Formats: sequence, structure tokens, C-alpha cells
Amino acid sequence: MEGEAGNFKVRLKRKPRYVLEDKCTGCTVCVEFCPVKFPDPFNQDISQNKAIHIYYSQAIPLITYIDESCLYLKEKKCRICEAVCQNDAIDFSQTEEFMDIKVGAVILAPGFEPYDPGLREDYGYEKYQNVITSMDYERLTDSTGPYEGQVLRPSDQQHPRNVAWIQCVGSRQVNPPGANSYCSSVCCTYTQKQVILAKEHDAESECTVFHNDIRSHGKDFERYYQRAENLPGVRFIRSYTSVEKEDPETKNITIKYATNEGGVKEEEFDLVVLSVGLNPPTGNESLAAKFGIELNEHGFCKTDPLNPMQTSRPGFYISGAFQGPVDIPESVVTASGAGSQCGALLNYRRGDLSTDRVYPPEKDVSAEEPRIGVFVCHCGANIGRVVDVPSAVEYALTLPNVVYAQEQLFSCATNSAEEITEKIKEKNLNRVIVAACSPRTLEMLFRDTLREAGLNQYYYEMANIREHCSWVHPKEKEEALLKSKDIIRMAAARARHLEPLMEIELPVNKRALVVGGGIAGMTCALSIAAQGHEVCLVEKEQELGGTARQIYHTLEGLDVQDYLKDLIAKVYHHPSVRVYTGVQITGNSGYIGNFVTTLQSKETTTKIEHGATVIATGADVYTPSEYLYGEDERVLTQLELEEKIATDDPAVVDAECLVMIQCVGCRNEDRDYCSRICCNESVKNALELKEKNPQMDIYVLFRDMRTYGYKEDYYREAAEKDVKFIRYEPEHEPVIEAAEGEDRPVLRVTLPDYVLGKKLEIDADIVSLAAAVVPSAGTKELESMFKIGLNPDGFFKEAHVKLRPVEFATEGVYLCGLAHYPKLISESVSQACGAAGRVLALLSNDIVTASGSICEVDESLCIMCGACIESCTYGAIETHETPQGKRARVIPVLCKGDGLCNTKCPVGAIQLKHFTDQELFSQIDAEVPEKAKTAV
Amino acid sequence: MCTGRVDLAHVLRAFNNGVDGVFIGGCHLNECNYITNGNFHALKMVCLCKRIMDHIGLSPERLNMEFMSSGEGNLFVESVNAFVNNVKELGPLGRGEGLDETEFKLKLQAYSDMVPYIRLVDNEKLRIHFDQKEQYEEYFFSEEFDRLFNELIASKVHTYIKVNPVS
Repeated sequence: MEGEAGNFKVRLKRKPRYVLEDKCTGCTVCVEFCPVKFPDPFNQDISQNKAIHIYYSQAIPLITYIDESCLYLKEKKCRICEAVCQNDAIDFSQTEEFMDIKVGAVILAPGFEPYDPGLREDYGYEKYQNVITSMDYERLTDSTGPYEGQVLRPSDQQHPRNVAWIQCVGSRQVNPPGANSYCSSVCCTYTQKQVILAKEHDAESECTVFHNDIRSHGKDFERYYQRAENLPGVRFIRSYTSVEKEDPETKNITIKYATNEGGVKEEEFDLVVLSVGLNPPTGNESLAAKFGIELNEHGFCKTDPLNPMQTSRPGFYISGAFQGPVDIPESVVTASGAGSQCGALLNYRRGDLSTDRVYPPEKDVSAEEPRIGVFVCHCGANIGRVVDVPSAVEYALTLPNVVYAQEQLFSCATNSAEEITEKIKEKNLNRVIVAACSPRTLEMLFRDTLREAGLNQYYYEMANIREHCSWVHPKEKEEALLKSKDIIRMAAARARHLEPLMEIELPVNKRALVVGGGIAGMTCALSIAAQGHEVCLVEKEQELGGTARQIYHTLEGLDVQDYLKDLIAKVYHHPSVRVYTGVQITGNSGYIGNFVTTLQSKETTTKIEHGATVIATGADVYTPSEYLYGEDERVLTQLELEEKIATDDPAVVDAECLVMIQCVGCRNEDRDYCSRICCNESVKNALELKEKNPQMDIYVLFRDMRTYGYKEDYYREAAEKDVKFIRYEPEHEPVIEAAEGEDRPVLRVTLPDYVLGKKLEIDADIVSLAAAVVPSAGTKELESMFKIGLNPDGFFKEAHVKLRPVEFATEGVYLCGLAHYPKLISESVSQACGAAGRVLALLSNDIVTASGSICEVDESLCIMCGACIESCTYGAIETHETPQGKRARVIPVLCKGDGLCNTKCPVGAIQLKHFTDQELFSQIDAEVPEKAKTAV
Repeated sequence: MCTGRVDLAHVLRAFNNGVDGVFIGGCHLNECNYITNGNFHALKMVCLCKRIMDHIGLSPERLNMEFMSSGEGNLFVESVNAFVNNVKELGPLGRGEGLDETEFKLKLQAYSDMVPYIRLVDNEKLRIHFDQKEQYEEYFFSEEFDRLFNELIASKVHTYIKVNPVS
């Protein structure tokens, strides 16, 4: 590749697929006939696949390819696939191709590689059959996995009843060579998931997890940990382990471990799962060399410390685990954030390459008698060899209002779709049924086919005679034909009642409102503004900066105050960002694309019209009521300690002994979550103190040290510098009292030492508390004002933890920063860019389109009982005044078309269009052949 | 359309038409890709409908709801096979239970006719939400529910049948 940011030329090599993408329909007949079996890499080589195959069941495109194990490619033999493919999609003449493409920016998303425990001998991996990795286990539990969701152990394909997981395999280790010093961040929680799955598969099974610190620092992860731990038959044991031996007969594995209470023990398990960590992606070095980007010392991508998506080369961004070990939400967030940064870079030519698709004008056929056309698909041999397709066609012609029917080899092939368009015109069809496969993949295509013929797309109906018929009844051909007839008859009954529906288009106000002027809010505002949109940035305090104003350095040593000053200057200097400080939000109305928000300052009221809203209101610090905080001035929070370190307060930097207590005000009954950042904060302050005063005795009293990811290296550094880490259990919290020490007044901290089995007394000069991060004070008001949700801990709740991590379920409203959950500055920046990316996906359109399949109220029937309003989770139903009194009304742009309200309305006044009672009843009735004849 | 759109009226209509079993497939509970969680509403409807069937004398096993994802084809096949075998064992609707055909059809029709009223009762008196399937089953077979059902639904349907003997 060559060029520079904004103008790169990239040469891509495309490996031959030996299958024509535009011809393969994914019917997989070739897979069935292919004689070559080989271990399937997608299923961790546990089960077999064929030389021609679809990579996995959710692959895109969902079509086959031929790999190197093919007999023809190796020995010029076979070519069976070519013979059985009825659509001539196999093409052995394909060769490697090169393509040159021009791009303005590059996003690298090569992911990670699971750690390979076969590189070392201490876990018995590859030596003992019943030692597997967590990736192997993951595939075993999957219903599309090697044994269709049955967990069977390798040695005898029996269900293991007693399974052990070993944590931190390849992570948090400096020795042996090949191990990673960092924490892989995700393994604690994925192991808990696997334990829960194991218990779901077999409620009687015994599960044991051997672990170091449990790191459930993600949102809602603490509860998840408790859920796994509290299942019957589940043990979490804090211990290092070694895999000792294999029983030669049973092939069971013996693990040796040690606990404080029980000493050294040996125990036998049916199956041992190694919770392997995350390694850099294979080929990371050649990738880096090819693109001229730098890697960090761990082999992942080197990124800007405060912008985890920015590589060392302008125009190159990354998303996902190439930045280091991150989980799915963080990957999705950085994907959106990297997209947003590309958008900012290339904004000057946004939309240059896009073209609008033009359809013929739509005919009004609503007054016509239904004229249904039925196209029955053979799907190659998929349907055809089970269902007698010609008979099905003949049968379709006997159904009421069916005026045309024919068979097709592959209805989804381009020429077949064109044929459907032609027949619609020729036969004057006004309803179309394709009897083929699931609407999941192809309904969109056929709706488009109708539009091409000038018919409203909602006149299309799909009859699934593949997944629901031929695939599940391959041996019952006669019954399969009868069932196909049933399915087609039901589809035809429904088709008669289909109505043309319009998709609603509403204009989008191009301005964004960002609520909260901390790092997240400012970064998000700048990112939106850089892409050509006006932003109103609202802050309740008199100054911008938020919580970051109290932070001096990051753990990596970056000066936060400098960064903040720079960021604030950028915000004020940006011509498209309007800053409102010292204001309160007093009102919000409207919906996606069209909001109105009222701001109140001491003097004035301002109304802002905007299309998108970003909530970045941050969080507060818990004020401890524990450990003499507020009573003795020697007890500080970590933030207060940080300030005193930064200002060289002698009481702190000259102290002889300092004790830090972790988890103050969270991971308890009141706040059942981990505040995520405190372990890092404490390690940071400890390291700074050791720098300033190496003689100081520092104790960190913790429950689990949660220095995830690269932060583990700083934890290790602190331990090496003689910071003492002592674990306590919540049942025996440290006790603190003012006392007279040997030579000075002290704060005496007492706690049990589990390793030594005795009581420990520490005389400290300063005690600092890792106080919890709590939802910010105004959260509740914003929740109701913007109609957005909170999680059980009072933080804002995203629409979907993994799929939509920076959006609210309320459309047009987005989320970033500490308002979502406690997080580090770099993570806030990722989320701020991620939210900006989603905002742009909305604001870059001139209109928002709502589906035609939404609910509608018949006002003449509505009795205003309010049941529909209550059932709607989207707030899409409102009351309004009519001459007859109040009635319910659907706000079309907010309705998601789930139809829940339909089942609540006692008078049938609200109906989901395209799935009305009439349409559904006609289908239910048509199930009985006699009814189909008489029903209307 | 979400599973929560599946209505008591739809299920009763199917049985009214003489089908021997109704199977409802929904997404896994607590794994909604939206915020709707409509499968809980469907589950609640299924529990209520089972009690209605019970009251008519039809086996509640003729109605079955299972939760699965789109990737779990094998689970779907297993569930449907098990259900179909079960329904085959139960025999034809009503006859398998040894019921008089005119009588149970009359009752089914009565419950169908009363769906608007049952919805009112549901909206006003059965506002419950649990996280687990078992909790629903427990509630719908509790004494508390028995009392509500008999007082507010069964007795009204009984009266309705008396007033409209050959509807």
C-alpha cells in the first residue's frame, strides 16, 4: 500500500473461492456430496467438515468455498461438486486475483489469537486428552458445535460430570517464555458464563474454578459472578494449580492445589478446561511492517494513550482487540469510534460516491381483486428432491385468488428475480408469494423485486417450505408435499388480506445536543463537530472538565491537566460547538431527529432544537461513612490523596506508613457492582508515592486486585517496589482506630492475615479509601426527562450491552462516559467517539424512515383504557384530544412493530399493520383445508 | 412482530378449528435484542391459556412454548418432535380426553368470545412480572390465581354459556 491519510492506494490479494458468488445460493448440496472430510477449524478441529463448505452457519455471504483439502486441487480428481451443482456455481478456473482500491482511511480489525497452551508442558495440554482450552469448550456448548450442543469429553465422548477450569492460562505470568505479563481481561467472565452453561446442560454436574483474583470489572459483571458462584455444585477456589497426572484407565485428570484452610490437596476431574488468554493476532508483525504502524511491547497495536483507536500512522485506525485484550462491548464501541474518526478525516468528501436507487412509480392496486402469483422454488435439490414441486405448483393454482403459479430452480438467482418482476407485469399480479426458504435472509430481496415491478413491497408473502419442510422431512416425501401445500395455502390466505403500507419519512434536524462537559462530552462534541454538524454542549457547572479536573496523571504517566486544558481550548475554538455552562436542563420533548430541549441558567431560558442527544453526564464519588472518613482528617479518598500527592503535601509524601483500603462503598449490598477504576487508581498513587518517598511503607488492602489488561504490569511493578498487597474478605473488613503508636499518633488498621493465619496490625499515618464511583446526582431527573432507562445500580442503561453499547433504546439518544459505568479516561474517549459515530449515522441522513409495519389505532373503537400505552416499552403511544374525547394515538416513528399492545387492547382498536388480526386469523383458519375454501 | 404479539384469541381460534396442538417458539427469556421482552408476555398468555384448557377439560399439554435462538435448529427439531409425539399420544382434540364434542367446542367458543373481557381482567388483575419461567408456572398454579380465575373468569364464562347456549 502507498499514499497518505485521505488518499491511500491499497492492493488486495483475493484467494480463489472456486465458487461463483453471484451464482451460489448456499443450498449446500455440494457439501453433502463432497467426499473429502477434514477437521473443521471453526469447531476447533473437534469435528469434521468437507473440502467444500460454508465457513459457519452465520457466515456472510452464506455461500460455500473450496479449501486446500479438495481432491481436485490436490490431485486433479473428483469434481463431484461441479456435477451436482444445479446452478453452475463451481468454477475451478479461478485463480488468485489482485485488486487495487483507493481509500481515504484504513481501519485495522485483525482481532486476537487465543493463547496456545500447547507451547508449554505444565498444563498437560496435547498430552492428556481431557485437558482442553476454553475455546474448545465454547464450541462444545454451541448448538452448531461439534456435537450439536452436547458437551462430550475427548477421551470417550461421555458427558463430563466433574469439570475444572484453570484461570489465567498464559496471562499474568512473566515466566515461562511465551506467557503474557498482562491480564487478558475477559477470561474471568467467560469462565463464569461457561460454568452457567455447564449447569444448564447438566444440572447435576460439578464445576470448580481455580482462580487468582476474580476480575468482574465490567458493567453488571459482579452480579453475574455471584450468579455463577451461587449455583449448586459450583466451587470457586482461590489457588494456584498444577495439572499432575492422567489416570491411564479413566483418563481423568488430577489437579494439585493449595488453600489457606486446607493446605495442599489433590483432586480428580473428568475434564479440565484451560481459560486461555488473548494473544496478539497472528501475523501482527508483518501487518505492522506492511502498513508502517508500530506495535507495543506486547505485540498489539501501539495506540495514542488517550485515543485507543489512533495508531502511530495518520489515517490508520483500529477497532477491537488489536488494541489489547478487550471484551465485546469495548470492541463494538471502538468500531463505531474508529468509523467516526474516519468520518472526521474524510468529511470534506462525504457522500461523493453514493448514488440513489430509483424505482418505478408504485401502482395503486388497493381497489383491485387480489391476483396472487405463486413461485415455488426447487432450491436446487434442497426442496426439489423431497417436495414434488410441480404438484405444489398445480395445487397453488386451485387456491382462491391465485391466478398464476410456476416453479423456479432458484428463486433468489438474479435471473429468477427478474422473471418474477416480468411475470408481475405480464400477468397483472398484485400479490406475490415465493414458496422457498426462511424470510430471514431473502425477504428483503423479494420485497425489492416487487418494488422493481411497481408493486408495494408489503404485497409480498413468503412460504417457508425449506427449513420448515424439506429439510426436516427428507424421508417423508408424501407428507412433505402435503405440508408444503398447507404452508402455501396459509400464505395465500394471508396474502389476500395484505395491504400496501407506506414507510414514513421525517426530516432530521442536523444539530446535536451533548449533555455534560467532561472529557466524554467534549470529545464527543468535537467528533460530531468535525463531521460538519453544529453541537450544543451543555454543562451544569460553571467550568468544563468534569471529574478529570481532579485527576493529575494517568497510570501511564500522562499529564491529564495539560490534556484537559488543550481539550477545553479546542472546544471553545471550534466554530460549530456552542458551549452553555452553568445551566440546568428543565425540559425535553420530541423524538428522533426532532427534539426540543429547554435550558435554564440564572438569567435566561433557552430552547434548543436538535436531531440527536448525547448523555455524558459523568458520575460522582461516594462519600464514605466507613473507616473514620470525615471524622479523622488523616483518612482520605483516593482522589483527595492524588491531589495531595500532586501538591506535595508533606503530611502525605513524608508519611512513614500509608494504608489503602479498596472497595469502599461498592461490591456490597448497597452497591452490588465493582467501580472498575479504583484498583488502577490505588496502584497509580502507590507508585507515585514510592517515587517521591521510596522509604514509605504502603499497604493495599484489597478483595480482588482488578488491574485488568496492561494495568497488570503496574500492579507487578508496585509489588516489586515493595508495596504490600494484603487480601481481606468482606466478612472481616479492616478495622481502623486512632491510636498511639511507638513514637507518634497513628491510625491503627487491624485485619486478619489469611496467609499467616493471624491478626495483623498496621500503624498508618494516612489511610486512603478507594471510594466507589456512584451515579451522578441528576441521573433520575434526566432519566424521566429523556425517557431513557437505568440499570439496577442507577447508571444509564444502553439499548443492548453488546450490540448497541452507546445507544439508548429511545431512538436518537446516545450515551458515553462515566454516566454509563465507571471507566478509565481512554475508555471514555473510545465511548465518546463511538457515540459520535452513532450520532453521525443519524445526522448524516436528511430523513429518518420508519417501517410500514407499525401499529395504528382505530379511534372509533378506542375506549382510552390506556393498556396499550402501558405495554409499549418505546413510549410510542400517546393520548390526544379528539372531538369524542381522549384517544390513544401511535407516534409512527417510535413504534418498533412488536405488536405487544395488540394483545392488551380489550376492544381490538390497535392493530399492527402487516400482522393484523384479520391477516393472522386468515392464516390460522387456512391451516384447516375446509376452512380455507369458505373463509374470506 | 414479536412473540408477544401471539394472542390468546389466536391460540383459541386454532383449537376451535380442531387442531390438536399449538406450539409457540420464542427467543430465550431475558435475551431480548430489543427492550421489548415480549416473550414474557407470550409465556404469561400461554400459562393463562393452559388454565383455560384445563378448565374446559382439554389437556394443557396440547399447548407448548419453547425458547430458542435462530442458531439452534437442532433444539427446534427436538422440541417439535417431542411435542408432536406427545400430542399424538394425547389423541385427537377432546376425543383423547374423552370429552363430549359439542360441549367442549361450546366452551372453547365461549372463551373465544370472552377474550376481550379476559384481556380486561388480565390488564387489571394479573399484572405480574417474574424473571424465570418457573415462577410463572408456579403463580398460575397457585391458590391465589385459582381464586382469581374462578371468580373473575370461569364463573363469567359459565354465565355466558348459560345465556348463549347454542352460540
